[in-house]
Amino acid sequence: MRNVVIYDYLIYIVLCYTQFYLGKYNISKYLPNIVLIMIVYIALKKGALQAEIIGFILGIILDVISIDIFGLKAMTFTILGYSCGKLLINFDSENIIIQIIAILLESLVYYIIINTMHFLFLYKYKQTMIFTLTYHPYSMLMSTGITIVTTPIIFKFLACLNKMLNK
Amino acid sequence: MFKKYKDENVIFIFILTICFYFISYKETQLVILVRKTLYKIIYATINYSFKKNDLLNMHSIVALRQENTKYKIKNQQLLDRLRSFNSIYQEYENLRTLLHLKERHNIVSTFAHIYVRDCNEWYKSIILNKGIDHGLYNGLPVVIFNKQENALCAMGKIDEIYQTSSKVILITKALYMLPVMIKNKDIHCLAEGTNSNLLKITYIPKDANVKCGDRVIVSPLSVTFQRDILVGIIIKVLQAIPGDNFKTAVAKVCFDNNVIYKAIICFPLKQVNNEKCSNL
Repeated sequence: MRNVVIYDYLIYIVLCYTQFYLGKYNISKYLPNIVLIMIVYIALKKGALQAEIIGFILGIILDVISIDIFGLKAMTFTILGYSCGKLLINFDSENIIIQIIAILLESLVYYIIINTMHFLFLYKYKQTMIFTLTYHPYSMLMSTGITIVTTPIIFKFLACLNKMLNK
Repeated sequence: MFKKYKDENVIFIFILTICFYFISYKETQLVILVRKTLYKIIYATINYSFKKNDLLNMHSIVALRQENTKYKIKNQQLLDRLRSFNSIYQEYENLRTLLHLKERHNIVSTFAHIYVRDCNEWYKSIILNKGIDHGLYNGLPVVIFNKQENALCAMGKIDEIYQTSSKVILITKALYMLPVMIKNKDIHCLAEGTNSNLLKITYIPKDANVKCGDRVIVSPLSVTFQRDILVGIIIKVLQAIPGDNFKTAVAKVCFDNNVIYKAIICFPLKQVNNEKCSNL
């Protein structure tokens, strides 16, 4: 059982790195938020406790290897894991509509937290309010759309991996 | 069940507190140490995982991102400086306007002695002691300093150029025309040479308020001279011929008030810079 948990965590971390590398090699301008999908998956499958811990670990990894505010993504993913786990634990995680609704809600919360914290803590964002107001909504919509499209695929992939590990 | 929920909440609050601490005190030694330690651990794992793949060079990516951050900060600082520079320039412009100061022209000047002033061509041309060897070329404006007016006065332009000398056509030569304007009145007209020390100012609007003693300066329409250079002083205003929309005036040139020894040749600054560069 302990090995399963360790492998589980390793898979999440590897997927987290995958997201980082996808961003670095400019595969596409808008990329799916794999970490967000993973956290929603964990929250739906395993509850708030697991989701918030995994969210914190993955968030801190992304914070360390990124230039963003240190601790911001860790905090955001922790909140997302906790809220998703609390709200949607009783819903059917296999249902694609539930998955999409969960991703939509979590994306909304994610962007609200990230932008608010950027506005509060980054000086340059105060200087470029027009940029934030004009460019970001389109970018956010595109990223959310791609995340929603990829959600069922990643959910299936994670479910398969879990089954394999449990066997 | 209750215990599980309690654990969730406690851990959630604990993690949130840690995150808030990281965000709020990001510049402190402790947070920097945590970040560096985590970075070393994560870098080691990734480096171990993707050791054989050169493409996934984590260290260079992170180094690049850090460098990028530095440049972003630098860029922001430069933008701030540019913004302050713009505000200073705006203030300077406002003060200059309020004090009625003249705009500084981007020109450099060189002095030249007058070699020859032929009696037969007294108001037509002069010859200067500088030529191609000194960087002069055809079309350059020649001015003179008038002590009485305490200003530069238009004299002519270089028409023929030789190795060590140049011939200057004076603005008083017949058929020489120069777009001029009446100072402080915004009346544009034309100055024509008359082979004497007088200029014929034509195309003055019939109802224009032009009086004796008005200064005639170079118009911005002139391609040879810089704007606002003094040309002459109006000494006589002729009434318009019935049916004509324009009247004429007579102006005395300013460069003939004193004996001419030296002339000033004006270069555009850009031209000088280019020459310096080519010389280098």
